[in-house]
Amino acid sequence: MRKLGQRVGAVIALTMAAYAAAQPPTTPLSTFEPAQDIRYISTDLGSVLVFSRQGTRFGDLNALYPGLWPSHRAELIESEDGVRCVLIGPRESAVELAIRRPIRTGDRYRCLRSSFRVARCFNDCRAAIVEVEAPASGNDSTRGPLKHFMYVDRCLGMLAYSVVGDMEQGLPLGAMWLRGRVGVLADPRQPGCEGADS
Amino acid sequence: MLILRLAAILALISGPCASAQQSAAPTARLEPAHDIRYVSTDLGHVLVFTRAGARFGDFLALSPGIWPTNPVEIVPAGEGVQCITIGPPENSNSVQIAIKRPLRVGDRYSCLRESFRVIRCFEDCRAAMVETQSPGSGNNPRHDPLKSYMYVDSCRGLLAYSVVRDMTDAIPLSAMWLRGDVGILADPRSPPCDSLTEERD
Repeated sequence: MRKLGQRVGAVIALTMAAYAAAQPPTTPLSTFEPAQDIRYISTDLGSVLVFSRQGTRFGDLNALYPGLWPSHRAELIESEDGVRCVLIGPRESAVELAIRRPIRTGDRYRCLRSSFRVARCFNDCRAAIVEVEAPASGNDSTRGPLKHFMYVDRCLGMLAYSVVGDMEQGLPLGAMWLRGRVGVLADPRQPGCEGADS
Repeated sequence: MLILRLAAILALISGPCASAQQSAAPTARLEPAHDIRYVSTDLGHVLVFTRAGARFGDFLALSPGIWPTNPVEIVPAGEGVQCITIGPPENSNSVQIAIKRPLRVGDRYSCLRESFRVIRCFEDCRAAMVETQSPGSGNNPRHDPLKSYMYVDSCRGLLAYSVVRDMTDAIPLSAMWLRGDVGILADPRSPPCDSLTEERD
């Protein structure tokens, strides 16, 4: 379990260290401060991702507790072409999570440096699996892009996140899934999403 | 195949009452304060617990006016076992969901006609996979037992439920998982679960 936590930590560290000079965002950044904590926990309890007003914590089960685990600043970008993106960590080395609405199979979009592809849709794209590709580290050109996978809902936002495998056959035991009703990047303003969080 | 299996489960829940194999114990209706929803990754399967009962079906089951509701009752089931039955307990076609605390690998327990076995634990059994086995259809007892799989948390109760495949490597796309904080059969009163309410604040 600890190994998996370390692996997740290593992946995040690699992702955050992977980028070269920052490209300026096209839209203003605002600090992401959810009204309530948003928690994701893996089935094997080895990996945790928590968004809180104090910042974002990413690690093993101890990351549930703010006093035990370091926090990263999270920022929100919304672009005019429908992309809503959360950056975790310093802008020049952030982990990026993004959804473009409306969700469409095969759609490709970007946040700052990561690229996203809607790999599979469910129920007319009410939910989808999105492949995230982050650029390789400049210090290790032999390493290919880092691939992550998100399971997103058009109303409720990100419901699951995997850095340990794709979601073709389901949510891997190391994938973190939402323990609550409403995830990060939710958008109740979308048509048909009214009351989706109730 | 999947549709057939689910149809069989639904038929088990809503089918005509066959002879009960076990005398019915006194029960109480389960009336959660809020709806408790489980939805599969592929959005094909939904299980919703409400004050009026449970709805089990495709995505339409999220809507109370569209989908039939089955009664849910709490069944006394031995020391440490929390059990509910979907469908009347005296009905041999009802479905039971049960958790025995504390969770222990290899533990076996039963509730009405279903037997349960804890097949895998995580973090000192803070969460576990449980295999459920129920007898074949009352109309054809020669049918193989039906196996289902639950992922349960010692504090937050049932977190995921699969009637199609086990969860050895992943939560299958067709398995329903909790869309909320606290699942059915949660037990925040136990001392190790004190953090349950703190974490929600």
